[in-house]
Amino acid sequence: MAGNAVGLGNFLRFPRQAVANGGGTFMIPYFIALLLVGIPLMWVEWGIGRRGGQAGHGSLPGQFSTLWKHPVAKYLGVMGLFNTLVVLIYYCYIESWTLAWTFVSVAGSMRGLDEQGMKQFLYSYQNLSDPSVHAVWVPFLFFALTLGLNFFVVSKGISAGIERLAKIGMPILFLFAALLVIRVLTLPPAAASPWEGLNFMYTPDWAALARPSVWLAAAGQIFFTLSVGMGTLSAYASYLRKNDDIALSGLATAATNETAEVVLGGSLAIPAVVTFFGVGAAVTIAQGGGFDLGFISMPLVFNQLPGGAWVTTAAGVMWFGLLFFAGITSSVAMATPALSFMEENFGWRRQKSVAVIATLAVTLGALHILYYQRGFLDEWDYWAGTFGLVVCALLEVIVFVWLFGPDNAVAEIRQGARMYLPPRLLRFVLTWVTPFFLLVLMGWWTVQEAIPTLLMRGRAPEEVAVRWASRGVMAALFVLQLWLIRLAWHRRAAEGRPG
Amino acid sequence: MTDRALAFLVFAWAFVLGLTGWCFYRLLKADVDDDRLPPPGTSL
Repeated sequence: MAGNAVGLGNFLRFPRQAVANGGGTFMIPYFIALLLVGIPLMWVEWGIGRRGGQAGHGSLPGQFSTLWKHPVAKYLGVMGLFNTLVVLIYYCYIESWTLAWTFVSVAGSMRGLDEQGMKQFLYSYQNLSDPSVHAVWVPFLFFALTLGLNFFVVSKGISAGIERLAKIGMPILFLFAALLVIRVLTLPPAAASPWEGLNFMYTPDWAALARPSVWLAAAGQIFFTLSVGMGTLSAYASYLRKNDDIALSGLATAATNETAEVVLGGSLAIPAVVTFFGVGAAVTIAQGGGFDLGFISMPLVFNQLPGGAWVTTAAGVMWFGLLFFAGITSSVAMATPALSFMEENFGWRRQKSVAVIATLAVTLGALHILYYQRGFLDEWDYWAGTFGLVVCALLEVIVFVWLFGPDNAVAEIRQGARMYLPPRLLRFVLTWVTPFFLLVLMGWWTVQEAIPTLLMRGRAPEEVAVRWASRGVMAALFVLQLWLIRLAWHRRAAEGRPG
Repeated sequence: MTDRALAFLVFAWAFVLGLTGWCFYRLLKADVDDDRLPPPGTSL
């Protein structure tokens, strides 16, 4: 579960969000959102999964129909298939960059490059019409390798595949991150000292607390980082037994993720960049985006590390290696709901399900590689990977708490709990506080971002057609999944199996 | 590093490390309790 939660966002997104939203004061709304939205949603997803799993459902359509006996319930669960499949495909493409950058770190291809050279190195990889650094086939090769590794792991099943990957990948991730943090914080001062980097990240800006956007950014970050609102946590939790603990285990998952994010993710990129380029440059870099921070600034930092070429290589391998492990332990989780759905509803064997989903991922992933520069990926990231998560989380709370019943929901979470959860407080938070937060978040995003995004405001004219095509592909996937749910329940009815 | 920034850093780290430590302590303790053998002299 922690492998699922700890992802690329812990190391690339969190530091940027903290710097852009009040520094140290960002931690106040961040932790409040963790307590009122993140952890309750974590328990909701675990509860949905364990309850649905008792009825043999490993994905949200079946799990919702177990909780709410209404024909519409299974169709609401489409969000748990749609979000995971869409995010899986583009996330694997970004994950493939980390694999590629691990290789080029070993090869030493980035050694000696200046800022312009490093930008060219990344942008040539992302833009197939600019083969000045990378040949056109290179991004396809690493994407195929990444998908191959992902589907090899999931084809082995939960225990022999995903669990084994997490047992290997998570300790390596934490080890690499800890070694890099120690190296960064013990660097001799260059443009500044690394502690000035931490100072820059944690200096409080009290005025920021009065800005609603800061509170929403904090809630949004909690969402992405914990992987709630996707349907992956409930897919994993469906393997639990009735009296297995979910309260303490869910909290431990959230806490482990927060350690990776706040202690490790917060102490790496920004302090390193401040040390070598100063606070002013760090602000510009943070505004440039997480990818620039991770794929341009960090290799530049590694080039300047004292100790020679092998230190540069080792740091590059550790940084991109930890990003790769953070990515793959999340992406294999995203493949799980769709595979479970096909297996339990259509009687497919694991290998057949994997082959079909992998073929779909290769085909649609190629579109991301071809049209990345035209915003094809941005559309998927926004509608499924951002807005879709809040919609799915809201549906989960409505179905699990309001329709299944608040008392039933609280009893389900407390069943087998290894920690005490005050039932009245839990009931109040789940029934009112968490949905309120989600509604405000969704309303704000709709007004501030969804409508302008939908209307293509500020988009370059040459991007518009590609972005509409991207939405068309997503819409086709959504309709296909709705149709599959319908077909599955027809089959269930014909076979006399309960829905 | 200023005192105010240090205070926020210590608060953030203490919160997440404390929470993580407490969770794993409880999980490991519960596992040990589950796996505990019956008292000596009782039949298995």
